[in-house]
Amino acid sequence: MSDQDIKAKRPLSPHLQVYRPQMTSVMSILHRATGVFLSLFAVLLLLGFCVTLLNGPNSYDAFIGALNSLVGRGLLFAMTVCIFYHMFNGIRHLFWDSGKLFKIQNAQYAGAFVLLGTGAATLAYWYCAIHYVMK
Amino acid sequence: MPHYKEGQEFYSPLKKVKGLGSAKSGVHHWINQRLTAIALLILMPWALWSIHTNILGASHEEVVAWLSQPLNTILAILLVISIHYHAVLGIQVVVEDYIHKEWFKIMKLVGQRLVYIASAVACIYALVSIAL
Repeated sequence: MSDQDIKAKRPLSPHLQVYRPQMTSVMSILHRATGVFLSLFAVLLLLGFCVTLLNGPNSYDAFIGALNSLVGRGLLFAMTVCIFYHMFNGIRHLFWDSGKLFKIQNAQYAGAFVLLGTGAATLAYWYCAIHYVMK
Repeated sequence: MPHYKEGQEFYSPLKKVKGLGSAKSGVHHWINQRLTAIALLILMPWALWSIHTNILGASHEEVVAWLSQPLNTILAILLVISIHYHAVLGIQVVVEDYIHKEWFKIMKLVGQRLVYIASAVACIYALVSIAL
């Protein structure tokens, strides 16, 4: 068999454009997307916090002021969604790594749990922030 | 796709595949990704809790006083290391999966590592300076 023949007979991975989205695949893509998002913004937030805090009250207040703007708050909200999603779904991945939850139905139940948990945790976090902390 | 070049047609199958197998370092990457994930499962709830209890609505002076306590400095440094390391490993997987131009891929991976190392060092330097 020539190299060409071998290449033609190889199984193809599914074309995402024509492949019906499933909860497991969409959640897997979201895990990566939230990870990429956080690798940019969580790192920037951490760096900005540490550096402006060291630099003094003026820089720090300007940094907090920027976060308090509409865009800043939107970004922070998106980040909390991503953090909770990536954290809960990460736990789901750790279960898979240890050989659990491989039945499709269990993977889907765990997925639903992650989605509900993300929504609940995000709302609870912002509720506390607005009602108890930022009065 | 044949991996041999012009003039190598007569190499044995064994010769052709030698050196194309595992890079012998994937397990290290995999385990460190999980280790940092477990570390972040402890450190992130602490960070999220601390944002509510010690950072939101607090003045610069109050935040500095809180962060200067030894336990908080240590946890913050661990958080910085874990987040940066976890991000580098995660982005590496995404880049390797989706970017197929070799030179661009290598530039991304090298550049990203340098940037993240610089960022982590800057954070740690700031945290230590604040504490001391």
